[in-house]
Amino acid sequence: MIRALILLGLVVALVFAARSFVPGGAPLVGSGAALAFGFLLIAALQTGRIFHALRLPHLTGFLLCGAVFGPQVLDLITEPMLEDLGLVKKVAVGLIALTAGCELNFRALRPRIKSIGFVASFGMLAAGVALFALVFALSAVASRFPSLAFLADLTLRQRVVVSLVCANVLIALSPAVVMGLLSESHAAGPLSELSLSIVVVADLVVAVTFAFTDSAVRSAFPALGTDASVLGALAVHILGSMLAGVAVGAIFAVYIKRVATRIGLFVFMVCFVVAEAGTALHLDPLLVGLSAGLFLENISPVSGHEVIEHTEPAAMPTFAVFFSVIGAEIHLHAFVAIAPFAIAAAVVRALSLTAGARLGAKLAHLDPALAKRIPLAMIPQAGIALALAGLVQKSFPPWGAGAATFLLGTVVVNESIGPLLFRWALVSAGEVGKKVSSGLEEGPSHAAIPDAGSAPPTSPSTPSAAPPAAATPSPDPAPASPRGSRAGPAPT
Amino acid sequence: MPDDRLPRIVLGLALALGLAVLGAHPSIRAIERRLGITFLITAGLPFLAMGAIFHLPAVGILTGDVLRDLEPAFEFGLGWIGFVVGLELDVRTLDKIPASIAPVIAVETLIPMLTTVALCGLALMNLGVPRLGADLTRDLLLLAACAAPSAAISIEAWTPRVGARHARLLDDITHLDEIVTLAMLGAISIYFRPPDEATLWRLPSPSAWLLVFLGLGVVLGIITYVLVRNAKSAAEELAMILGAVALSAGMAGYLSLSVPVVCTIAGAMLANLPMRDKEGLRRTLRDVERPLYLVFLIVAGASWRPGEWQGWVLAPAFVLARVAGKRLGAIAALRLDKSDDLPSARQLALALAPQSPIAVVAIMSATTLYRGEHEAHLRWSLNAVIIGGVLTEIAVRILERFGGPLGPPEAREPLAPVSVRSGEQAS
Repeated sequence: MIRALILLGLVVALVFAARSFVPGGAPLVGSGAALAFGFLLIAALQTGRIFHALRLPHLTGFLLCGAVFGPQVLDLITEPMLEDLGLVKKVAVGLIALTAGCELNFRALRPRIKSIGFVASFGMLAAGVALFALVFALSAVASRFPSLAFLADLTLRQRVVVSLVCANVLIALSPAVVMGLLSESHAAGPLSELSLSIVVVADLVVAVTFAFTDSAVRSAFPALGTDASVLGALAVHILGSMLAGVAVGAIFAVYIKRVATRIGLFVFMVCFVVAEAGTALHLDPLLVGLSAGLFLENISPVSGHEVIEHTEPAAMPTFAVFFSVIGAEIHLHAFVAIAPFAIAAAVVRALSLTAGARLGAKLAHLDPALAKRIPLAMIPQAGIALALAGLVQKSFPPWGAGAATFLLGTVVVNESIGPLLFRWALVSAGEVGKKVSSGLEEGPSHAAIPDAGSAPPTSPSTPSAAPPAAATPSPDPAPASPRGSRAGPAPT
Repeated sequence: MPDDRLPRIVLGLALALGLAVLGAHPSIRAIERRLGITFLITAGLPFLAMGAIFHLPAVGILTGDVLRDLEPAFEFGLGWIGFVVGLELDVRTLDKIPASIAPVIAVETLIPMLTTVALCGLALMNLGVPRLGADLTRDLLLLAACAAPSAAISIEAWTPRVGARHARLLDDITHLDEIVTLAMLGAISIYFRPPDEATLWRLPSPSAWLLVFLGLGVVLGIITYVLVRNAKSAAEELAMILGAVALSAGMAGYLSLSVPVVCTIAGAMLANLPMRDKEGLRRTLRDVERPLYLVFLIVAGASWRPGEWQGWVLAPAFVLARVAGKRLGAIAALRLDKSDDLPSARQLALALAPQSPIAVVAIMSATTLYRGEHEAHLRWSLNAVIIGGVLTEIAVRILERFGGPLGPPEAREPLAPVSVRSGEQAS
């Protein structure tokens, strides 16, 4: 932990010094995105280590790191840098979703379909109703609080619709957080499996229902116009993303089957192309990645686990950068303004989700111990909720900005508390460290020369790590030349 | 990104990136080794052409927006290659190289640099570049830096020609002369700083920037070392390497220093600090090196303006100066060499004539650094280096074919293998 603190201090000092080079932080060449990426990655990993030593999830450390070094606090990562890291974030979302999709085998999940359906639907329904009631109740007293001004002066119908939209956004769960925690804790077992399936299914439902609430908004607020409805656009966006995902999955399958070399690098490059083109084509990298993963694991002749194995080394940097960027995007100032209402919404959400999910679990005759812990996987919020809040702000100008502040404030609470609760659930279920990892996870290849007689270094996440490997097991090892001569450029 | 061009941009990027991965396929490398041709011809040229075609307004795939989006990745790639080069600079390995190599590298790089300055200087002045301006000096030094490095030889192809011992020696020379290019590039970026009106740092002299340069490289090297050394798993180690390369490249780019040079210094630091499995680390970095080069070549191709005739005028001057310089350097090297370590002057010149892809990296790094400052002149130099690489290859093939046999293999058996690249294995 002390080493991590020293390293963190050193890197922060370096970047702080570099940022004094130009006024306003605008670099002379490029955007500084490479600097921001490298800094965030190293700082997040060191913060993760510190949090690990404090028995807290790495992921919370990543989020905090982004929030502290981001534009809202220390401003080492500026707004333009953050904007340029948007592409990196999308690549990360694509990779996380791809891995999540590859983890879900429908055949294996068939016996649990009832549990997944009941827990997800009852949990979300209960949370939706409770949150709708809360926002509707707040709208009655909105005129007394400036931070709730967006709910004031609305007709009854408009209050219903705005409450509906807010509830819809706030019932979103977080596959990224669940994947991140499962990955960092090497968890495996019924809770891990069920949690991932539930959050993936629930987020697909949220994406679809949001498209319908949008048309309700347009009928309640005629000033927004009807022909600019995003219902059709969202439908195209969802279906288009899914179709694109299937196409991407098919490309992966062909590549793995026919070429079978540098699979990890190829997957990364495809995710990059999807992220680059997705923005303009209105494709959601999460849906594309998820559909590609589901296609690979359930339809194609190639196993999704082959992709997981080859992208496993990239998991840690992906999660670190993704969550630190999410942390940097947290609107702390907005949160301070809306804190009491956001906390109230988060508490109502957590309680209603728990009650609903437990009822669903009971009806599905789920093991009581599992039923007790499963709602904790549904508390975290991140990517989708943030994206939908952004969409609310952009699409519904009269009240969207105020609603987005309220929604983002609530997401901040869920984002901070959720990972802690889910990790606690995994630990108490005894699933942490149960995942059989590939060789890449086991031993450091370039770690310190061990002192004679000393034990080999152990992984923070695994109870006992294998002794260090003799050489780096490259993800897609190229055949070494007899003299180990350079793989890249050039023989004449 | 214009909507009407989206499908083609997506397809184009997907095609380029897919081909970059496929272009690094071992079978392509096997073909290169068998035919004894450089990667600039097998994979490089198609990628350069692809970049140039993608940039055409009618095709519109690598548009300005897309190139801007690729900028951080490009900077990261420059840093990655810098680390790869730096990791070869392990003093313990260098100590094992025959002492006679040092003067050979000196003359083999210095003479082509001098001939390039002379010939390209004449060409540039005739093309209208002001004779007394700092731009001419900077551009000439850049071209000289690009003239120095030679493409790594294929030991497989050269052993039958010159014998195993000489082939290994040639291999070592080609790997070490990259350092000369990067050192020159570093010196250029120190002495020809981009305009500093926009910056808050007012350093008194170039020597202060030299200190910043070296200090930054060393500090980043030490940070990288501590990060890698503390890694608890291979995955964590990869994450640390990614972070360290991005931080080093980003920091250098942010301070308008040459990215590959700072990263080479950091890589050299890493190479000289105690580590159990340095070869594994090198392998990790090299594994991605070729796809990175190929992506670079696409970007270089997009920056290439074949329509600018000045580049076509400068290219033959560059090739002629370089090939003649290498030949003169070979003659001088043999005169300096008192041992029997070197092959004949003709063999030496032919082996060292093909241009290393690091020259493209150097000129691309310079065009990024000096963006907006007489870009046209730099583009001519870029054209000269790109076209020069291909023309040199053709010239070498002609010289090999019509210049008589290169000589039978040596009767003597090689000494114990000592290589810059695999010194640790050999030792």
